[in-house]
Amino acid sequence: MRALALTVLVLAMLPGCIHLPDEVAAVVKHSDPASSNHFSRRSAPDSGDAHGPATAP
Amino acid sequence: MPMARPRHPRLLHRPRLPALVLLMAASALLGGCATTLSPATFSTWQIERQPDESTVLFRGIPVRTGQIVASEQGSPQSIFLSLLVADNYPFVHTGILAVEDGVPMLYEANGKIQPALGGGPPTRHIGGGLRRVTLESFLTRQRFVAIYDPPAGADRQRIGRFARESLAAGLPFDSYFDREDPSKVYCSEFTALALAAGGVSARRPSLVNPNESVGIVLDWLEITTPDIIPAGAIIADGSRVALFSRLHTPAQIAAYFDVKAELHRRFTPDQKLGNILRFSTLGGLKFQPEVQSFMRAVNDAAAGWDQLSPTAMEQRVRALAAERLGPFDPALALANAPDPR
Repeated sequence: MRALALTVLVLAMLPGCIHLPDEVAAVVKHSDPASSNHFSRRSAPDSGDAHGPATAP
Repeated sequence: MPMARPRHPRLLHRPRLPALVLLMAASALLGGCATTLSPATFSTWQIERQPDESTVLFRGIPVRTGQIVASEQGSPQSIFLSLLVADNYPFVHTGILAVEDGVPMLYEANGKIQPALGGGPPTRHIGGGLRRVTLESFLTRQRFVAIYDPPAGADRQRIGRFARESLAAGLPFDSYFDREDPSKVYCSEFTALALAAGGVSARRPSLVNPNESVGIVLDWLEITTPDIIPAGAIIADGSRVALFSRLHTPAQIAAYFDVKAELHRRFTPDQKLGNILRFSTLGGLKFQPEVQSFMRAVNDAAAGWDQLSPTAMEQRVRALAAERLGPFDPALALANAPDPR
């Protein structure tokens, strides 16, 4: 039990244990669907495949 | 549009303890096998200024007090920081060089996230401040480094004196990027103040990015400044003395900065930070897989781009972006953006 408490304490002190409020998590933990995401490959306009291969120039 | 401001890299970054342990173990095993500072151990070792009576040759680099050192790691933290600012610039960190007893020393404002109990955003738990390191150690630790002479007319000795006095005063790091309060400084603020002490001013600060998700993050971080001094603005009027990278060729360095520009171009006000970066409690801040794939593809291709003009290189980067991230038309993106009302 002491070991568990110590582990929790140490974990809580790690800088990485950052609690993100919901509104922050929503913009840094999740990406937009490909249709509105400028950083995710989108299909050609008429292919209907949202994650299809991009047309490489 | 007063909003918040950024901090230095590690804001949302969790130290990778296993990696740190491995690194320490490797260091212990390798002992004296540290990287030697010489052209032979660097992919880019480009000296662009002739030495003269005002410079000291340090391993062939013409250094002198008052020069500006700019750097970037190319990490998710680097991109995060640069996206907080509306304007895109190369580099995200600067410091001041002072030659002391023939040895070039770098003075820099460095933030360190502190272990802390309790909640709140990481900006409340960032310590650190002015520190002094050898240029040699700095060059071996950073991915891209450039040295610049300050703008003409700068009093270099005064710049160096300001740096030494700031260190002696124990100037703390400013995790809120508030340049109205010079009692705490962030890296480019410190460099700008040093240049001002030498009689030259950096270009005007840039507004924080009007992107909605940036605003949400800055609000959470309690950063309220309307503008930030970007590292790139510090060197915009200086002249480059040298460029270094251990692992990347000059073309790969230039291509990286084109990648950064492309990410900025696509990061329109409606885009989420999460489209480029992904944050997890355990994994820290990373690139989204498609962005990572794009960056790797550019870096690989750029190994053969040494003869390309800047314009041709930018076109190649955009072509790879279209291939890896999808086509992007700024006009179409603007037309399709949701109405902010």
